[in-house]
Amino acid sequence: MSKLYCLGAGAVIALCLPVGATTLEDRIAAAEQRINAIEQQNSEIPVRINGFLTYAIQRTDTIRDALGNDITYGTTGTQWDSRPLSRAGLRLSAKISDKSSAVLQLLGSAEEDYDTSMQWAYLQYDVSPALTWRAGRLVLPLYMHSQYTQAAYAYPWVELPAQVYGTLPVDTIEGLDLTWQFTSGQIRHRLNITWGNAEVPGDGFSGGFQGRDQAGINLNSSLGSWSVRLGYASAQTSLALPDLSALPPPNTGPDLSALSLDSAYGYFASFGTQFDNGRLLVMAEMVRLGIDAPQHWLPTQTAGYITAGYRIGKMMPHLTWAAADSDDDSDCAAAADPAGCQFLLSQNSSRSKSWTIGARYDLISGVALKAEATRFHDFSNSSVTNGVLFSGLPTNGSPMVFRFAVDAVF
Amino acid sequence: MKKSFIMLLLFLPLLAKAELVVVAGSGSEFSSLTESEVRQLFSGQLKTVGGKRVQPLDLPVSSKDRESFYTKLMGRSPEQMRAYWTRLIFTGQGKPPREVSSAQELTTLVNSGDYIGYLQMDAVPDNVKVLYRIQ
Repeated sequence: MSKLYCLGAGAVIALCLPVGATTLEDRIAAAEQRINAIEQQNSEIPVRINGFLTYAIQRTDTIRDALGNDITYGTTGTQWDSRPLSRAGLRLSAKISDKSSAVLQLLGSAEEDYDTSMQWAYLQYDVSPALTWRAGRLVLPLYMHSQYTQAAYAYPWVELPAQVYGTLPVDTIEGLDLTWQFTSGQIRHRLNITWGNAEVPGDGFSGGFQGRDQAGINLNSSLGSWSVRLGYASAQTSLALPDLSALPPPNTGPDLSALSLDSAYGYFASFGTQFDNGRLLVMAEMVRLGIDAPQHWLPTQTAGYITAGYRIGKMMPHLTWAAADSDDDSDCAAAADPAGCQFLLSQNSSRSKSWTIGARYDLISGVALKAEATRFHDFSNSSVTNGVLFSGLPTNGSPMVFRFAVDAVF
Repeated sequence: MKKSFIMLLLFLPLLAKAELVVVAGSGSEFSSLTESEVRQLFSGQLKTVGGKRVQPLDLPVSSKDRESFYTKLMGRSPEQMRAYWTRLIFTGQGKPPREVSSAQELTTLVNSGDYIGYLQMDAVPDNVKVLYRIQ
């Protein structure tokens, strides 16, 4: 019988070389012993790496405003544009002890020249198997798909319904949360409580947006193929607005400083539901954002969508209806600068509806191809007319946006 | 006629699809699992049974048994399970079952810890215990 000489590399891998193994049986026995040695390393992998990558292109048909000027959807015009939707991310989860771990998520988007930013950075501690505590930079859990908005492989669309997922410019907070998982009968629940502060840097026009003492609660309940999500969050919001009257022409404008938000109460309420039995997928979400701004220049916004998809083999065609609307209860006549108030109101009102038809094709496990077309319409109600997702108000028919994507996870 | 009937009987086992079973190590404290427990364990919704930790194992992604297991148990394809796990990973709610390279590795692991896995009924070795049969 030949001997085995093993070089132990820590507790992870032991390399065993059969010395003098002459017969086939000896070699097989040695190889089996080596396999067993490796396989019995039951310790969990200390650092887990998960990643995602999306390459997507989009373009619009010709969209014009009332004066005949070309307008764009975000920054995308009639040329194929890969910058707004292409991105890649890495999630590193490092085990510190049996109950605690550190999680970092790096994100690079084509729009930012793949300059990497830290989207998440938190410590997680399992108080008990049912109760988890996290602290650090967390994703703001406003929507049903909040936690994986960047990992497009997880959902059927190329772009999440823009009217709903564009409601707030904030998607992370620095804070802490507690998640409690429990069951009542057959129904499984996840109750999540969040507290923290959020900040969006200024854009040159206004000072940075701050949401302080952001407190939120959301409950996700599921039974079989059904799940329902309810969420509510509130914050003290601040936004410094400039005095444009002091600027030299042609930049002179209204004095907006009196309309700044100074710890104004803001809330975000959401409802979502999903049915997925493996073949039929139905998802719906509705969100409402209200901020108590001076003279109510920031209208309360309501947005929602409903999606249905049906899986045929590796293909899933889907159809989505989405809408956004604003309730104008402003009192700009009483403002020190009514024109300034009216300007802010028109900039922050939104109203649109859209139909999206698309398909997802699962090329292999971990890679999906997607295509979709969105047709927007109805940009006005009794008090609001605004093409908020566009660079202006589209007036020539119903603007279309076309998208193609390849999404991967690894 | 009689001859062809005998031939049919002879080949019947080849036509029948192999039955899949959920297994644990021979020293496992469990004697059986319910369908609901198996489904929840393999989708990360359940991590303990009767207060005891249970960790699921997956056969390689290329394995036909893996495809058949999830199709029969959950009504989901491997691609759908991948999208499902993507949602859970990035939500921080869990990680997918550890993937083994072979049925042999699966047998070794279930006998060395609190693991469960799935195998074809006719490939179940003596040193593992069957906890659930996929109907």
